[in-house]
Amino acid sequence: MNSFQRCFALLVVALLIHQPSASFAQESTLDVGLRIQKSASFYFENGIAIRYSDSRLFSDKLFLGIGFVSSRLGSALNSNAINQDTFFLSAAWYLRKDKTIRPFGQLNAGYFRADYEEDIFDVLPNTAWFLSPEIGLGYEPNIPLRIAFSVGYNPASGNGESGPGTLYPIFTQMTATWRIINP
Amino acid sequence: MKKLYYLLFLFLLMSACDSTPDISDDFLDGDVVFDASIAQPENYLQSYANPNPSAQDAAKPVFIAIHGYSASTFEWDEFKTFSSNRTDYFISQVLLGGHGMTYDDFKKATWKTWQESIKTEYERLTAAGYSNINFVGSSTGGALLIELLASGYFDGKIAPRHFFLVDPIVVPSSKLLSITPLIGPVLGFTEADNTTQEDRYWYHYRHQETLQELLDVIVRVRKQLEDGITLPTGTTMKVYKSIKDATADPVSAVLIYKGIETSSGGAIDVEMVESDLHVFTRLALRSGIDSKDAANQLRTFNDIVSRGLN
Repeated sequence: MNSFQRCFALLVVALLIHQPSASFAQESTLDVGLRIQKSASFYFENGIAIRYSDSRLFSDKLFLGIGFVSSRLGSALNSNAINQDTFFLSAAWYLRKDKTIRPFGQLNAGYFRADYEEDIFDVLPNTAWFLSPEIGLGYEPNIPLRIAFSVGYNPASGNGESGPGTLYPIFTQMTATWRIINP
Repeated sequence: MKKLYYLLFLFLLMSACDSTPDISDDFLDGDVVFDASIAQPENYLQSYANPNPSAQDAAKPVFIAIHGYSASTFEWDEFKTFSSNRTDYFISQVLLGGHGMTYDDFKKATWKTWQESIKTEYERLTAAGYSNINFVGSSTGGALLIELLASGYFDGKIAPRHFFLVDPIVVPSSKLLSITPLIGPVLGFTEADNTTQEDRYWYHYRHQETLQELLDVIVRVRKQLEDGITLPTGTTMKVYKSIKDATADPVSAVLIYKGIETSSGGAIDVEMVESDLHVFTRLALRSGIDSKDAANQLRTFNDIVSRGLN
């Protein structure tokens, strides 16, 4: 586990054990769940997503989150696909508070790493820092389940001369989370 | 005013969807310039040059050279020139199906049509008695050869001895290709950045349907590689890949390396080449070629022939 992965794991733990202060606990929320991501004409990369909304900061509108997706949990599961991991922090803005269908925009900032395994491929770029926007729709029924569908764009994708070749620019994703605080 | 904007929008949309480019007679796309192998197959295909080989000739290696998407037999002309004084092997330069003719012929062809002419030459050669078959494929030619292997085409047939893939494409460098089904119908076609001379050997206009075919075949090959492909007994493969390539992402070599094994479970050979050219073995009509490019070409031709003769 490299230093970035250690930092990311610590962030996940910190978010999971965070308890909102008593006076605001009723409106701060924490959702934990699965993220299924598919790049256009390329891999499935699946993983986890956590998002938090604080009562003191645009409650139930602004969601800060962290996520991890990997082809190890998608296309590379029992196949020869390349193992690649993406770690990201996110900030999402949801419209139509208290409605069932909520349009949203999200900005992710993160780190991508592909494992080409053999030394002969060390000449090829396999990592990238990125900023990727998403727009989509959230579905929020009257239970703690939250589902978000979105389309995203990652400008850090490879172009054959720079950037990792297996990082594709257009992706769709579905995140299904369960509200574990303030259900 | 609103109506005017609406009409302007409709006009722009219709212009964008225009799928009939203005084709010059100097382009391969037109109905004047054709690939030379169509009129004179005996100069390009060994099965036409010598359909009744002696036992000695039938045992010599034949390199079936396959060009890439939107290209023509010209892509392997320099290999033919390099080999012009050799009598110990033969070269068959195959023109992919749907290629080398008009824009409309190209537009109508599917990737299976492209692949058909590879099968035809292989079958003509083996039927004529040639037993030492080798394939050399560049770019999409490489992907089409991998597809033949994965789909079991060679099962029960004379196994090719060697596969040599130069800058094979499995992952495109332009990731826009991945959304061709979405934007293609709006674009209609794209234009290649060819020189005037290159326009006689590569299509200038690429209809979006041909780009979708290209996407279809490389996605199919990627999935075949993910499932794993085993070479026939006694067959080897070597991939030569430029480390920078604006057409076939160099990571294609990683996918091929991971996805193909020899019949004994061994790894295939891969050479990452210090080059920024796509199909670095084709130097003719390029500008800015230096001694390193010439050395890469020569070393690769020598390596292909040397391995093919073993």
